[in-house]
Parts: sequence; C-alpha cells; structure tokens
Amino acid sequence: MSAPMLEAVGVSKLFGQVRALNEVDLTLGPGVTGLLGPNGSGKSTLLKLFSGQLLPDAGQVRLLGRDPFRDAPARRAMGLCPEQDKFYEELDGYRFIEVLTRLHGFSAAESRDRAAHALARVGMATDGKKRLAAMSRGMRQRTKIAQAIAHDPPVVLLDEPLNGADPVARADLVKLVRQLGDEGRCVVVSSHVLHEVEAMTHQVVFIRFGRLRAHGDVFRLRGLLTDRPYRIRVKTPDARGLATRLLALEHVRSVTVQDEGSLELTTTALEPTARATARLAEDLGLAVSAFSSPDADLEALYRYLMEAAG
Amino acid sequence: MTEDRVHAIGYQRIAAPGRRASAIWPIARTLVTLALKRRATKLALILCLGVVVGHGIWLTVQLLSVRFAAELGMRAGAFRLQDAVGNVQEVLASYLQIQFYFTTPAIAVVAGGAIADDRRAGAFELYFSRPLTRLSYGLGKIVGTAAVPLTTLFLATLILWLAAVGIAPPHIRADLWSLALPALVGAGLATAVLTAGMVGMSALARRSTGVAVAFVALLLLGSAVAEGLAESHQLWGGYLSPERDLRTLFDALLEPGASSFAGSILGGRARVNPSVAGSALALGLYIAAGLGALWVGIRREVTS
Repeated sequence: MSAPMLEAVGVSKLFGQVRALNEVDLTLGPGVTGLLGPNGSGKSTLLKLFSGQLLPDAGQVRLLGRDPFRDAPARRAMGLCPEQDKFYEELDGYRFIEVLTRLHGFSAAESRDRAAHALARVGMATDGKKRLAAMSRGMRQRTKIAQAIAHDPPVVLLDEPLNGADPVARADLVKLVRQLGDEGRCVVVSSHVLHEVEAMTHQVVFIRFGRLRAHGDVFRLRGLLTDRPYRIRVKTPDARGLATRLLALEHVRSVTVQDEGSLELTTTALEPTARATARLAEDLGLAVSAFSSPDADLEALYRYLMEAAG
Repeated sequence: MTEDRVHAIGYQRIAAPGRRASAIWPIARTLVTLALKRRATKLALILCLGVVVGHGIWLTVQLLSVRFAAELGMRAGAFRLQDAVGNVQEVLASYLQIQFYFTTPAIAVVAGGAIADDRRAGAFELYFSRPLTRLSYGLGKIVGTAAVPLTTLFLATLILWLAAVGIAPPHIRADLWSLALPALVGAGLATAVLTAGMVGMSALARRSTGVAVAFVALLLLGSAVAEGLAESHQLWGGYLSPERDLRTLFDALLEPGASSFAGSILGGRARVNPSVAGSALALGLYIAAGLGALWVGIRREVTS
C-alpha cells in the first residue's frame, strides 16, 4: 500500500457541547475518495481539519506527514475548493486566482501563468476574463476548482464541487476530478450528489453523527452488509420457469414473479447469482431483455448505512 | 512520511518557487485594488487631493510673497505679510489637522471591509487553507489600509515640505530643513492612529458599511463630544479625542504659533490638551487597542 497522504488518527472535534467528530481514524492515499454523509454529519469539519483551519480537540491530523494547522508551509501541498462561493466579486477570474496563488510564494508573473493554466484546465480560458460577479454559478464553481489546483498540489479537497454546474460542465468536472486522481493526487470530494460521486470514484467514506460509518470500495462495502441481501430484477418471457430453477441456487433467498415477463430475486452474493442466472437462462433458451440490481450501487449503500446508523 | 516518498507514487513534485514572495503584498494590493474600483473611494480621494492642493496654494502664495518682499527689501512689510499668510509651520500643522478629517472617511471607504468583507464572504477559508500565517494576513491588511493615510498624510506632507524648501527664499530655507522630521513624525502618528483604528474595527465586524459609518462616527463625532467635555473644563475629556490628541502633538512638534489671517479662514488654531505626554499616551493606547482588536478578530476566525 502506498504511503498515506491524509491521515486522521483518533480525531475528535467539539463545538461547545456538540461533538462534530468522534474518534475518527482515516487514512487516504492517492486517488479520488468520496466523502459522504447527511448535513451536519461532520464532513465539513473533517475537511477543515485536513485543510488546517481547525485544530482537533483530540487525536492528530496529518497532511503528507505534517500538521496542517501548526505547520503553515505544509498547507502548500493542499488545494481547497470550499463550498462558499461569495468572494471578491469585483475581481476577474484570472486576477482572483493570481492573488490566491501568490499566497503560496509564487511571483506575480508565475502566478499569472498558473492562473491561466488552471483556468484553461477547467474550461474557463475565455470566461475567466469575466468578473466573478458576472459569472454564472457553474463558472464560479469551475473558477473555485481552478484556484484549488493552480499551485499543483498533491492533495485536493473539494467541497460540493459540482454545485450549480450545468450538465455539460458537470460531465467535464467529473472527468477532471478523475484525471486529478489518476495523476496520483489524493482528491477528497465531499458531496450530496451520490451518482456524481459514483461517476468519479468507487472509494468512499461515510460519516454520520461525527463517526466514521464505513470506508472503502463501494461494492466491497455493499458485500459486507450481509443483513441486506441484493435484489436482482430480470425480464424474460418465461419468468415463472426461470424462477423455479433460481430457487435451487445456493445464495438465493427468495424469488418473486412480478408478472409473466419479470421476476425479482434476493441473494446474499451478487456476482455468483448473476452468473448462475445467465447460465440458467441460456440453458432454458430464454432471452433476458433486462437484468439489474437496484440496490448494488452507492445510493443503496448510502441508504442502508444511514438507516443502520439510526 | 516525507515528500519524497509521496513523490515516488506518481504525482509531480510541487514546483517550489525559488525565492518565496511575501504574502503581505498580494493581500495589501488586493485590498487597494478592490477599493479603487469603488466610486466612493475615488470621490474620497479627490477630496483629500483638494486639501493638498488648497494647502499647496496657500504655501506657494505665502512663500512667494515673503520672497518678493525680501527681494524688495520690505523687511517690516514681510512681517505684516506673515501675519496675513502665516508661516510654513502653520501650513503644515493646518494641513495635518484638516487632512486628518478628510482621510478619516477615505480610509473608512477603502478599508472598512478589509477584514469584515473577508469574514462575510468566507474568504478566511481560502486564505488559511494556504501557507499563510495570521501574522502575514494581519500585516497585509495593515499595509493595505495604511496605503491611504500614507498617501494623503505622509507622502503629501513630504511633498508640501519639499515644495516649501524649493520655493522658499534662502533665509527661510535653512529653517525649513529642521521641519521635515517633526512634520513627518506627525503624519506618521496620524497614519498609525487611523490605520490601527480602522483594521481593529474591521476585524470585529461583518459589514463594511457598518464599520465605515461607526469608524467615522466614533472618530469625528466622538471627538466632538470629547472636545465639548474639554471645553467645559473637563480636561480629561480632551484625551479621549484622538483628533485633539494628534492636534496637541502636531502643535508640539511644529510650533506653528498664533493663527494668521489665512489660517483663521480655515478655522484657525483650535485648543489643545494641556499635556503633550498625556496625549501621546492616549494615542499609544488607541493604537494598541486597534491592533489588539485586529489580533483578536483574526484569532477568532482561525483558532482551535
């Protein structure tokens, strides 16, 4: 396993009487990780701890092995795209990013070059000349992402990066986030939009009530929820005939014929059952017009984990 | 874990700038750049320029009159002339006093939102997720805020003094050399008072407009109340007015003497506090309070 780029070891954070984070242990390496949880679950607090804006009440936070709160130069290795998007409205996109990039110690000329490069990367080479006040929500969002990557940081923290972006921009941004991860950066994406997170990564972290609920690959995590069997829907002309044969399979718990043309089964093992179903259909000479598992995705995993958390 | 180990897994090492530029200048420059985009800033600075031009004209007329009188050998006439147009000390003291009034709203317009706007816009998140220390941020805001009084008070005083030295007849010029330091110390003090007060108030507030109005009200209207107290024999009240404290120090530094006819048109020499040391102490406390408020305001945003 590669060396951790972001680490939280036994991290707790209190705001008055409210425990925003409770003994969180988390290690993140290169690649994109989705940070998921309902409002108030502690996602933003965790991002603020990682970005050195808060000091944990207990435990330690490490950014490339250094304390991001006390060691200001360590924050050079990190880029943050905050959720908030009301900044210096009178500045244009280029000037806005140049100012922020200069805070990393780059000269004005180099900051300008980096601003231009970052804006081009997020597809804002032309619109970046507009004042922030005149930009659409999606443009501002892209400008915010550009400022987070202009100094080429190994760690990128994105808080709701797709807010307000139109469908084309969303697709572009999803692609960009994946590229950042493919380059070996540690990219953490906090979002409520599950299908967009799913398009970016299968690595996820679930937080609820300040506690870490789960961390890992979506499909492996789903497989660990043994009390929640998978549902599989199959559309085939002889659903009743196929159902009879499916009941004999090892992992299948139940089969319901919904009408003559479709059935739904529950199983504890998705992949073996899927393969066996296909084989049976072939043996019976049945055409399968649709095959889906409505609860094998991130949304189902999220729902189950959050239900389990109460 | 070291950066080298992380580098080994594939992403590019961050291109480290050769000689790191200070974060203070971009912060200060942004503050000034944003302010200069506002119409109110331009108006306030034009008014300040008017004060410079007005005193420049007074100074020019005064020194040219003295020069011609001296060249014509009108020694006694020159003395009467001085009663009419005053002396350079009086011009500089008057300039500092009047420009302080005009610079107060100007600095409020420029820097009222120096920190308040950052708080409202959530810019702290953007700033302090970078390798920026609280000290650099605070100094950046101080430098940006000080740009106004440094220009309208310090730089303009220097220009007026240089103009005086350039125009003055030789027998007066020698005396003017010794005026530079007191005049610039006075301008520096006024700059420090305005800057510290402004950043302190901005650090504790959320809205630039509110800060600007409160700052002007506190400094000018509060000063008027303090003046009233001092004039009604509550002498301690005079020390509560930064403007009166500064005036006391300007007079002590520049020794302008009695008001001339020209000076009296601009309001004449107002009364000052009886103790120069008391005024200096009051101003020191005022500056310390402003810087303290700045520190508290920044700590409150970026804290454990």
